[in-house]
Amino acid sequence: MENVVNGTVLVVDDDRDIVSAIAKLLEDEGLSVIKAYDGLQALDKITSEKVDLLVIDIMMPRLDGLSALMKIRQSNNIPVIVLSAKSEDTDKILGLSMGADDYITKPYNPMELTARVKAHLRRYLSLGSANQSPSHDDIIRVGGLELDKQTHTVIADGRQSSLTATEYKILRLLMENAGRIFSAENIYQNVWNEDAYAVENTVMVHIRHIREKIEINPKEPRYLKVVWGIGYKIEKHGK
Amino acid sequence: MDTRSKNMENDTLPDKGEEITKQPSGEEEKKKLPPKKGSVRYKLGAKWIKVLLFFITAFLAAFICVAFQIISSCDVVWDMSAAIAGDEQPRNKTGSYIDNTGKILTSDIEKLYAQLYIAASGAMRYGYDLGDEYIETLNNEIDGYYPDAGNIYIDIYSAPRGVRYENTEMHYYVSYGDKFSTNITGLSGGQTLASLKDKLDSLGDQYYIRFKNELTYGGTDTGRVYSRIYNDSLYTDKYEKSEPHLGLCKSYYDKDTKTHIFDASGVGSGYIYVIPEDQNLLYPVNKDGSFGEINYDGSKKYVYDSKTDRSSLKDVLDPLDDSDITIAVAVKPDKNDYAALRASDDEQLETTQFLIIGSIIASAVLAVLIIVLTLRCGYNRDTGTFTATRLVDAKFSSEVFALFMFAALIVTEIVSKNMYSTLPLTSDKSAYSSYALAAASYFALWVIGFGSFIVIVRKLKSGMLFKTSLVCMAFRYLFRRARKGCDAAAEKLDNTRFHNFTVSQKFFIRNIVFGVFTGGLVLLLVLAIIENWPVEDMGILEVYLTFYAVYFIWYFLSGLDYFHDSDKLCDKLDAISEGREYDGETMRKTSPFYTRFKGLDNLDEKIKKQADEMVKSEKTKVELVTNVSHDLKTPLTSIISYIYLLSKEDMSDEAKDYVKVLQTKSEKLKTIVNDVFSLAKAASGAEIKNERLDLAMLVNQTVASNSDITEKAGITLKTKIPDKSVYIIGDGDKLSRVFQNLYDNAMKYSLDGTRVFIDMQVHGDTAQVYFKNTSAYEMNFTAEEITERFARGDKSRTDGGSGLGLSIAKTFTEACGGAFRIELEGDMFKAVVGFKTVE
Repeated sequence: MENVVNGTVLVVDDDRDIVSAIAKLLEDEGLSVIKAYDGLQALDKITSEKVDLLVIDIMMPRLDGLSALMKIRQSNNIPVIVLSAKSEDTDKILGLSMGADDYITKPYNPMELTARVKAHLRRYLSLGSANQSPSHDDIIRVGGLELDKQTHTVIADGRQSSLTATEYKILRLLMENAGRIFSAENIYQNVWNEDAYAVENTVMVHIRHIREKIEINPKEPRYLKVVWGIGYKIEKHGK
Repeated sequence: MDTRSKNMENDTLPDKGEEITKQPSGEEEKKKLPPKKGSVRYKLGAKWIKVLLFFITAFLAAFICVAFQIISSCDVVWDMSAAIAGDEQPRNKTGSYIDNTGKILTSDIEKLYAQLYIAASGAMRYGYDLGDEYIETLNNEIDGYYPDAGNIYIDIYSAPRGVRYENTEMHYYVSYGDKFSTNITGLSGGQTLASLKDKLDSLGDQYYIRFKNELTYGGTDTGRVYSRIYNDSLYTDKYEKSEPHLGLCKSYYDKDTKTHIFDASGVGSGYIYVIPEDQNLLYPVNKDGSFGEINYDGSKKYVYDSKTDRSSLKDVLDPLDDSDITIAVAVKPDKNDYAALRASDDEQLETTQFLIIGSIIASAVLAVLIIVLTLRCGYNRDTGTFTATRLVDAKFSSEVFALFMFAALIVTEIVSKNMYSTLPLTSDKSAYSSYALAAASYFALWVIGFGSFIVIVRKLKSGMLFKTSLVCMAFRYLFRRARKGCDAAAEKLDNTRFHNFTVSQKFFIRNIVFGVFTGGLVLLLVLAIIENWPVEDMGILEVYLTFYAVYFIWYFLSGLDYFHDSDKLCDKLDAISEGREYDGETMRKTSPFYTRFKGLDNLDEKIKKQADEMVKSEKTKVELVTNVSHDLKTPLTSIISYIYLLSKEDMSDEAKDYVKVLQTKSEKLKTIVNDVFSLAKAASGAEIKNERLDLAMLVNQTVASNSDITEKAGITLKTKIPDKSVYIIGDGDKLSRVFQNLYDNAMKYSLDGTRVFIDMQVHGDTAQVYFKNTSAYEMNFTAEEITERFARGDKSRTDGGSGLGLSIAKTFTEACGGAFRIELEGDMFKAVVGFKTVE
């Protein structure tokens, strides 16, 4: 189910080596790359050329990444991935609230980076915001996740995921109540329709399998999250 | 402070109704809440109701006062009426005077007689002068009856002794005393003096009737008034039993001493003649019929001869011209009549039923109202507290109101006395204005007096009484001055050598001095007792005692100060040791603990400074680590990226192996950098988001999320976790890291084929999670060493992990408020994470 994605990615970082490395990584995947080394350059490039996705660092000379991002967001709707060495939660929250679609911390996993870039591009270009198919009641969307209740299919970041019946039920329960935390017992009672007793392990195994199928990096899940000591939830995305 | 300043502000405001809330205190909080708006209680608390009640009390008080005076006046009238009745002026059932035959007496003279009688009798009985106004009235009345009678002359100054009728010149003075009036049957008004005289004469020796300018009459009687016993030039007054008191000038025979007594004190001569029967005494009678002066020299004996007396009296009585006699006036001497009692019942009821019943009811209502007003005055229905108004709470007003209160009391006393003597004896219509005036005075006085009382009560309730009192303020001022003076003196003393002594030395000196003074006192007392000092020599003892009393009070109070100060010192120590701010009293400079007390401030400051510095340095450290990790991450990013790109290049197998090593090592470097960073963050306590979570579930989740690894590792995992929820307060993300690390640790270092135990136990309010495994390597380190940063069980091992796992586990656990410890026993490795449970 690997789709071929084409598009132009603008990579902005003051470390030229990193820009080159990312460019090489993305070009290997068949994407065209434009390079910039500070915020102002990025603004120039984005107005002068057609860009489909932006990968931007935060700490840069002349104009920092967040300021550049804010300016870009005033007129542009393209996916933006922030790539920063700042790994604190507050930094992530700040970046995402400024208009970023994703936040990857340095040092990144090259495969994960390419996967995310492609996921965002796929969503933007094929399922893109511009020509997004009108959502109807049978489709639940949470961020890059899409669950069709009629066809019982799940699309994660544009790729179709093949879930088992139980996994589908769990995901549907969590997506329908995105943001709400379910304990293992809750999930068990809802999905299996049985009294729950020492079901942590059972539920967790399913959760892990779902993650492997829908997450780009199952170790750092973006959608299906464990709320330690409380339960599980689907993260409610910005919109 | 707040209310004080508010008070001050209010003083300058013209708004009268401004209320000053009472200073908040602990007690007040316990008080009932203010009534709900619109409730009956709230409505009853309205100010106008209280004001209305207040004026009702004034009205009632005025009514009661005036009523009592009227009743008292009536009392006089009754007594007089009773006296008439006692004179056997019989009355019929409707109260009209009748004679013995039952005929109603209607003539003017009869009425006048009664009235004069009343006047004289009242004056006599109660010993006060008749009011001028009343006499005027009486005069006018008599004039009405006898327009040509000239002036009625009522001798108000000798009123107790009689009433005279004057027609151009004083012709008659007729009176009779006590029993005579009651004994003379058929004597009534309207009779001529002649008939009166005849009547009297018919009774024998008992009467003397004299006339012209100074007339005396009298009769013998067993009673006595007072006697003045002459002995040479000295005389003594002797007041004795006076029942019945003889009214006018009189003479009588005292059976006990066998003495004739002539009392002429009421008719000008002012003499009393005491004539013992067995003595000779000249009895001079002037030619004009008056008595001459009798000088008793003790040698002359007077033998009473009724005949002589009689004849001489006859001589003077003879020229009596009956035609001139208009009125015979009688005076009943004293209050020895039961007639008053006899007459009281129906008379009283008739006249004063309303006043008495009214007064009783009014008094009851008044009492209730006074209690209600006293209890409820100053109650603020909005706040439920007692307040005083700004108007009455001016500075120094306490004394002013107290003064008002006492002034009102005194003036009431004066007014009531004045009223009593000027109020008409009878309640005719012309008297209404007097009653109204009296009522108005009482009303005003009550408003001032009781109003002041209410104000004082309000002040007392709102705690303002002493604050607005000049005397109290003066006392406070003086006390402060005295205290300052004492402090200054003590400070001077402290600057001397005494200052250098330790507290215990000072105590010792104090007690030595106390011992000496007390010993002196005992010695003086013993000396005084043994030597039996005379009273005059006690002076020294008194002086010493006074001095000692003053000294002892000082000793006692300053001793208390010592203890109080040491308490303060202890309080402050407690506060500092508990990390609290000391908010108690400060210490006086002269206290022996003062320097230590101040020293504690320095200590506290130092501790706080150190704590601040620690926080600061920790912050710097985190910043440093953040910067360093950022600086490390950037090149690492390049390294990882290019190694990845390199791994995709075509190259020899050998080269591929090298790249693989590079990949592993760069990944490991990444782990270390991240771990170091998060460890530094956790140690500084930043970014811990504590919430209530289920520890049992957390451990279960950790185990469950790692179940695939467990299976692969070929290690048996035994868990014993309670089914029920165990709630604690902690940061879920951080704790999952703790258990993940412990789990990883157990997996990594367990001997193949052994079991790993994860137990959770709850005892009381503590929950503990145990990770137990058998180490594959000999553990040649201590439990302390292993949790140190970058410690590792097997120091030679280099694969996997940053070596920070346990260190992170410990730091994170502690950052979340839990306890972390490692226990080593042979090859048994045990990690324990403990938390306090919550509901």
